[in-house]
Amino acid sequence: MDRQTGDATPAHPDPQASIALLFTEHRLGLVRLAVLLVGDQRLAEDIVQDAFLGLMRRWPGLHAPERALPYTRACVVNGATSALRRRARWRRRSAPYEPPTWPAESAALLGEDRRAVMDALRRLAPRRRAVLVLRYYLDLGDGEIAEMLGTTPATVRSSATRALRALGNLLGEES
Amino acid sequence: MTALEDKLRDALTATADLVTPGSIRMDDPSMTPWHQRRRRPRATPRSVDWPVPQVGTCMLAVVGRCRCRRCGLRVGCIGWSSARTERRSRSPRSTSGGEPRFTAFAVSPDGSSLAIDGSAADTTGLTAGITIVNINNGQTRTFRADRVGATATDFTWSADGRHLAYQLKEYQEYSSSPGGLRS
Repeated sequence: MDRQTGDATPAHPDPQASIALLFTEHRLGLVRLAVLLVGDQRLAEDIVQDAFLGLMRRWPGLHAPERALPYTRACVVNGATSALRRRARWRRRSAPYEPPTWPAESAALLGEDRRAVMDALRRLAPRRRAVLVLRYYLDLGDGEIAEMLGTTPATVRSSATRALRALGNLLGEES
Repeated sequence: MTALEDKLRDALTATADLVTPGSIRMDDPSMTPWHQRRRRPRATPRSVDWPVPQVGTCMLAVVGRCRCRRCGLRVGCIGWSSARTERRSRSPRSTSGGEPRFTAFAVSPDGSSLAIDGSAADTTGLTAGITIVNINNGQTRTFRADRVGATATDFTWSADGRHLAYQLKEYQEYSSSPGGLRS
């Protein structure tokens, strides 16, 4: 498992080398994060690629290069939210189409219970989904999540509580 | 809530672990040459074909400053070519701050108004427009399309001079759609 809870990315004098190092170390984890948010690996790869391109463009103006990982992670979360909004807008305008979350073999590997949880998670609003993924997959604190989503820790706490309650309702559980 | 949290954490971890390093098809952007990096598609093509009036066929001086290099008129002219229009590949950039290029016109039946092509080019492309000129006092009214990438042509006034029919030609695919304008 490649969770990226630490923000310590070695600062390198060469921006190109720093980004390459960041890419090598955290590419997989960022793609996994995006996959959990959008449920589609190809789209997740696009989102992460866009995040890295954005990082390259904005690297000269980055105040703290050692905070590049949180910055990229926030770009991924924002990109995933935008992608989900685009998908919802497209669904409203045209015939409903939801890309399969996983191929059949992955679904078989995942198991019935886990698939039910992931399906319920996918039905939550993008912001609530992001809060749950950041909290329970990356094990980030409320402060870090709030900084990433541009809100307050109290809002994150309430969002997480409501999201868990909604998830429990979707799963038919007592919350 | 704890059981649900544990279940969620387990599902997230198991799902994320399905993404393996070998399944990712991504290149390190910092290692990719800049011209091969994936970018968002441009809203407008860099170079498009759009009709340019044939040089030397200007007919009527009305408004604005002449864009024709050969007619010698200082007051302005309508670039007009009845059948001969050449298509050059050139960027839809402004040559004089969005000044319109006239490629079509039509005089109203009573002779009081003139409809001319008021398309304007800027950095985003060519925006279709129609300018109605009052020949008696020189006042103009311009109607501009709300999208880039088309030009209005083939003006035809109605018999009472209250309506104007035109075609909106998209210069990318050259597909045309009928339109109408109340002057």
